[in-house]
Amino acid sequence: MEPRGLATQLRRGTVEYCVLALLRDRERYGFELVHELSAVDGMVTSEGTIYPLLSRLRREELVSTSWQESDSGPPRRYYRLTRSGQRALDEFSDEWARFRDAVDHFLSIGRPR
Amino acid sequence: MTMPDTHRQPLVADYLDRLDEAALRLPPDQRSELIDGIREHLDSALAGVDSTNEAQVRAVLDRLGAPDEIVAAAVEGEPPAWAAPGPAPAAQAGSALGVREIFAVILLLIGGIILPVLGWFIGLVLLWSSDRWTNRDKIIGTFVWPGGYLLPVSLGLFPAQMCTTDPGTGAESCSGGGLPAWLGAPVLVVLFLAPLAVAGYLITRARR
Repeated sequence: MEPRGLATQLRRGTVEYCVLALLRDRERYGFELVHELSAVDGMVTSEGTIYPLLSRLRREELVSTSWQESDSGPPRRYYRLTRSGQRALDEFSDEWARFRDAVDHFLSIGRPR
Repeated sequence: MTMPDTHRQPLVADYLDRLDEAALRLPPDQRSELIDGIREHLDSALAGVDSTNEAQVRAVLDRLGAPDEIVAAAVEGEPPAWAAPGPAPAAQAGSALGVREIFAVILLLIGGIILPVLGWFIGLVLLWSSDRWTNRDKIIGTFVWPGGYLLPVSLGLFPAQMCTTDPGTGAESCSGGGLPAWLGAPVLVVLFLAPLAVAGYLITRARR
């Protein structure tokens, strides 16, 4: 598997929880979320693909949205974590910690410490 | 939703045209949500950019990705990523039902009998106030059947009341709404089974 395909595989199913995590403390609008995600290397290749993801999270009711006026230009769509979004995020955080430890365990076998 | 100045920039206008066309594959509501999102993104991303500087505009569009790629991500995202390989399904599957959900399903089924009519309404309130179910689930739970088992049980227990024999003439007359037996039995079976099926469905959905 070429490196890009590997990175895509790893991102699939995890980026959405990074989005939910960004909404834990406060609501944010789309560009803000994209900006935060792409500021960290390796998380997003094409910024535009975050928007279908946001749409799906909304339809799954993990986030809710509202329109709010902006100081510069037209109103913006703000995303907020719902209770089921919070629950999904908590569940993922626990599961992710176990998964990461398990993978680290196997990757460290036979490697000098 | 538009900001004509930035969207009229030739590179941006061309990009939005290609996005419009690529997004024709999507259901209408998803299409307009995606296009609105990208337009809003461009409003913000181009706010600090000189729109006559082609290189800068191009860089914004490159970071966004090709319209085809974005639409492909929208298509690929369905069914939801829960179904994709990864840790998510284990985290989602078999999560415990809440007390609210259990009471909602029980009251929707037999609440109307325990506490005539009102019991079912309490179930309805619990159903609609839970965030475990989508609006679609809630609508299904509401309409199959209003009153839960109240209606099928009262029909099933007293079918004889629908037909009476006149003692004077000996003629049998059936009150309005009574169904012939060949039709009545299957209808009763459906009336009894449908709420059970819906209860099972609601429990499955709430455990996701």
